[in-house]
Amino acid sequence: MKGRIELGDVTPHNIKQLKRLNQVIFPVSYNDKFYKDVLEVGELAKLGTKMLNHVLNICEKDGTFDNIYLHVQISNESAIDFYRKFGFEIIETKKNYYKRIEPADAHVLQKNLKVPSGQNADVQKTDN
Amino acid sequence: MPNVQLPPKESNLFKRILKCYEQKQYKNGLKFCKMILSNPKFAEHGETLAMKGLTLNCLGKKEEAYEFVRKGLRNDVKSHVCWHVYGLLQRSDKKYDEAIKCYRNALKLDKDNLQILRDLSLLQIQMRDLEGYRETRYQLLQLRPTQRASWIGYAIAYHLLKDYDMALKLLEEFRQTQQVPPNKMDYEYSELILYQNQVMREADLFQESLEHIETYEKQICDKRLVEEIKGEMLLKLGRLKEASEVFKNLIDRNAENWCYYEGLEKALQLSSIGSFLPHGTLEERLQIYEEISKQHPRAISPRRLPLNLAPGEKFRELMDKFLRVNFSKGCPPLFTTLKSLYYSTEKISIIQELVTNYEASLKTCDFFSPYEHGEKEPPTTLLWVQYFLAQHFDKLGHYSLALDYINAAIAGTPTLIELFYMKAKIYKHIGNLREAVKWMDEAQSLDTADRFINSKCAKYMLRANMIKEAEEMCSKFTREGTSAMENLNEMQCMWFQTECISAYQRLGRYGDALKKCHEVERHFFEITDDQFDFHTYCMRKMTLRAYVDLLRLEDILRRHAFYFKAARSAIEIYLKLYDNPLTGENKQQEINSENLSAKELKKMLSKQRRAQKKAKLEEERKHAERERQQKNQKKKRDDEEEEASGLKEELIPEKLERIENPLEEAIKFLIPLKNLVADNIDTHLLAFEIYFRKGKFLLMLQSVKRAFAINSNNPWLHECLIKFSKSVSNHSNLPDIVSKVLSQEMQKIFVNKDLESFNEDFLKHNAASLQHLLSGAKMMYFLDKSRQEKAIAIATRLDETIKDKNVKTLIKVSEALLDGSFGNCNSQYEEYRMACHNLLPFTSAFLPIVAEVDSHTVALNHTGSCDVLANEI
Repeated sequence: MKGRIELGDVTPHNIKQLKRLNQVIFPVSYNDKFYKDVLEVGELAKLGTKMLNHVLNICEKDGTFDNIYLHVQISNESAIDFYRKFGFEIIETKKNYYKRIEPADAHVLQKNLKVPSGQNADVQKTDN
Repeated sequence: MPNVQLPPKESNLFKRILKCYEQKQYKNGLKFCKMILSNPKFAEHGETLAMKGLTLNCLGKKEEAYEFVRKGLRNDVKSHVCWHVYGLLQRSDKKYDEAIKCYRNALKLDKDNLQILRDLSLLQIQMRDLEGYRETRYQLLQLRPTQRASWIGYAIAYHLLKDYDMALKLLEEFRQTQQVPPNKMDYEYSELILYQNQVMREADLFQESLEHIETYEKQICDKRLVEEIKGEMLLKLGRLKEASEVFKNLIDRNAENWCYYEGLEKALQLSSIGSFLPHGTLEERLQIYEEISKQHPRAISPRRLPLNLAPGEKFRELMDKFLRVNFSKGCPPLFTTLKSLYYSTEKISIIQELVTNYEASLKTCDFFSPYEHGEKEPPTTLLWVQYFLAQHFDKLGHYSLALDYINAAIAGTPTLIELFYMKAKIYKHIGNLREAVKWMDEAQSLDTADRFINSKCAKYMLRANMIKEAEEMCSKFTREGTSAMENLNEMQCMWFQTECISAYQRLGRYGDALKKCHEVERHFFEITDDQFDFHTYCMRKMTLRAYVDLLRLEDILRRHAFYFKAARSAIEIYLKLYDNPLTGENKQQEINSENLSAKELKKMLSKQRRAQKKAKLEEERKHAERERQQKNQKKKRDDEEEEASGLKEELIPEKLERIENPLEEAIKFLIPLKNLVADNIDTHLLAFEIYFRKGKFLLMLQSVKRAFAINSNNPWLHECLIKFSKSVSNHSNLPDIVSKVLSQEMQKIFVNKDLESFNEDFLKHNAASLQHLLSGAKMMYFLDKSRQEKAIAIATRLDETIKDKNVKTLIKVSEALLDGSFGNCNSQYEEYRMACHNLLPFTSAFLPIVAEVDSHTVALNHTGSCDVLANEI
């Protein structure tokens, strides 16, 4: 798909955009307390799981994907644990992968989608 | 009075006083002064008294300062120190002319005093006394030939006086004394070389400039500039092949600089002289851009520039490519980059066809056209296409269609701020300013950390005369502790102030408007004044090009649009105040009550009463606030020991709008316009209006002549000409010579026609332009009140032949019907309003009075309240 997708934080300054999205997408509207909590929590719980499951489902349905891989900064233990829960494994460590953050090294985590004997054919990139 | 020489003890004390002054240890300085003056033998010592005054000035005690300095001077008129000190005092109050006089007197008594000469030179350049500056710098050079500032200053003086030969001689002599290793980079030397080169170019010495830059290129830091100069000089010398190489290299460095493309075209002799281009050359030109596009696949300019050149089918082909790439990528300012092509109806229709087809296709099949395959377009492509179409139709004036597209885009992406911004803009163009504010408010609420959209929202509020709300909106970003108005003034935020001026003007709050006009004027004064420190600083740092640029900028500073806006409004207001001076309690503008029905009058009066009460409360609050702030400021000043700059008199709206001599004030604003913005016809027409009221016939003549030379068919000018002519014939007692000149010059304009025929001809000549018809109709009534019916009929024409039946012009006509230009015509106004409403149903100005929305009931977004999704029209 052309175009780029970027992630940004939800802050008190742009919280209204989230409200607007929810109003349009979901049939239920959330009251103001919900949004207050959203800002306080700092991360949207279970949303990461939902998104990753969504991606895995797409790949499964599609059928032509052999594996998924991603890069994680070696210091990001919570992310590494999160992905391992879904069956990703560290297969490699790339030195100086990141240009502007410390540590600059990254682990490559991979999940095989086919039965273990499958070779690396088409690989879709999902960067962390 | 004979001067007493100080004995060694006191003499030492005096030296210490000078040192304390230099080191800003003012309290100590005063101590030493006291020690000398308390001795009865030296109580009247001129120089000590003067120094005491100077020190007091630095502590903010201005009046005492002057007392002591003057006393000291009186006691010792032959002392150069006293004159010098007096000069410094005047300078600190920005009385530069006076200061120069003092310095000159000091120099008469001590002609080789370096410090005085330096101070004098600073003032001279500040006041642009270039001849004087050169003389003084010559003296400085003679006294200190080893100091590099002496040479530089002297050279700059010649440069500014346009004596390039002398300037270059001096610069070269000076350059030769600089010991700089040939292959090392020294910034100051680099700047010197570049400055030298600039002077050569200004002197049209192209060959010398080129050789010069090639000789010293290794020692110049700014490599890009070296190439640019080479390119320019090679062009000027006709060495086109070499020039084209240089420009090609420059384009490789930066493919987005349009000047380089211009240079390249000139070098290849491809630039168009007129709009006609031989077919072959067009292809060559396009070929160049094609090649550069290949070399720079990501650059936008080589793809954008050919769109200016190509006609017809080629244009369609290039535009199609350009649009597709940018829509796919998602380029929000796409329309803005293409806007300049909208002078050509052919190009407009090609663009419209292409983009509307994209839209139709993307909605059904995710491709730009139905017969394509490959990668599908992401959903954002349709969004950008719809956004573009909204802007496109808005530009063409098809506002309903524009709204349709923007609403479609919003339905698909309800969080994109640009969409709401555009929607607000469309409503603004329609003339529904309240609705525009509503949507702009929605836009800013989606990202309250974005100061740009916040400022835009404030501006739209000001356009809708919602001044309080605008201030509140700005306060989300201004400094805590002060009011937004004050902080914005401190920050010289002139866009805000000029919009306030217009808003106050529309509301008839002339005092408030004038206050802001003066605030803007003060900013310009400060900016001019601030250059003072740079005279020494730039010389020291050798940033000579920047320094000369600064001087040249300051010379034309008031040419800036902000000054023009403030000056124009100020003049308009002063003219109104001259025509209808405010008296005592009546703070609102005089309303011509004959034009209103009884019901409307009652409504207006009760509105007035409410507004007056509100204004009174507001005033009391402001007064209390001002007092509190003055107390704080005074406290601050007493605490600090800094040099107090000339204290500005406080601007009080009530005083400003009751000024004794409004025309004199207006002229103060006018003069910079006459000097710097003489190419704008409004300058001269405003000048005319002032001189008309002053009865200055020759100046009136000068104004209309200048205006006439710019655009003889200007509607406002037409009105001025008729008023002028009438006035001249009414004044039979002018001196002979004046009458002669007047009739001679007016002959050229009126060509023997009497005023009625002159007006008839004007109307006939401009039968399709409502603006002109309005002016002609006003004059018809002015010349003969019995023709009121006919005049109104002309002004209120709305038939097909009229080309400019747009919101602005129609509002102008309706305002004229209300302000007495056609006398009493209430019913005709109603009729006209209804006709306009039928033509432009969404414009607020023409809505029936019943449906008018009160400013307080417009629901605005506040954090925490419930939101309502966009309501479509």
